[in-house]
Amino acid sequence: MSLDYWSRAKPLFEAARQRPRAAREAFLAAACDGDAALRAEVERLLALSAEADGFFDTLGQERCRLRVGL
Amino acid sequence: MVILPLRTLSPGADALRPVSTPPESSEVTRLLDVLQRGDAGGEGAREALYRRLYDELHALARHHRARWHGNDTLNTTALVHEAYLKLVGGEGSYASRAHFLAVASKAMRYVLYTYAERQAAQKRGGGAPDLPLDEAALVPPHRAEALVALEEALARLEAVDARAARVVECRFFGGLDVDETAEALGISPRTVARDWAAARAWLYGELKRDLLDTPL
Repeated sequence: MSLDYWSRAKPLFEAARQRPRAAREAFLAAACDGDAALRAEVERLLALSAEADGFFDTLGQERCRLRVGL
Repeated sequence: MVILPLRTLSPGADALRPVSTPPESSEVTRLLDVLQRGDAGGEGAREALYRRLYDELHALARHHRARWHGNDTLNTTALVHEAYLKLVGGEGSYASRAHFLAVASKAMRYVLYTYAERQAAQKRGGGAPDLPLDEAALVPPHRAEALVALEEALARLEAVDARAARVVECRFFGGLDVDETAEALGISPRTVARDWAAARAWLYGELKRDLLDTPL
């Protein structure tokens, strides 16, 4: 995914993450103000975040044991 | 132990520090002191320390490789900390240890990439970079592609958010915790946590896409 949105998506990702799941949609609708691509990128990062936590936590326990192909 | 914020350390503060470091580590200790002062010599010292640690980590990895069996994998965190104990020992302050580990984490990033790239080239059967195969074997073939993809993604992220890339180096390659990373980079633990969360979500997305054929 392009990093064109990174500087704007990053703070929104953080702000959304601090909110309860149920409140995120309304928050993003207001914060993105009709910028659908920006909103899609923040939502994509939020969705990836849950998976990424598990992935990198495993790495945290066993550094560099990327579980690719196992 | 009193932990001073980095920017409050003046050159004069060095005079108060004990100088009882072993001779072989004196150069590294000197570079760390320059780095910590944060003055004009800082970048040169960082570069010199980086080159020293890059060589040291290669040597330590080779040393371990010689004694390895079967499915052992390169433990980057252990190597980075081993390098610290060898070159600085127990003499360093919390802040100088954090500085060392941050630079070592960056060096570890590129050492690992060198091995992974070599291993991936071998797997493809293509032209191999100049590195003995037994060193490349420090990264198992099935992990090489992921590590190469991770490095490529991290380099893209670094171009737009250098600080986040530093945080990833410390947290992932060096195994530093949030507070150690904050100390090393002169930013707040909260900023570290934010950068880390956003960067790893993005990096994970890149790896997922780049390695579509290979389930993560």
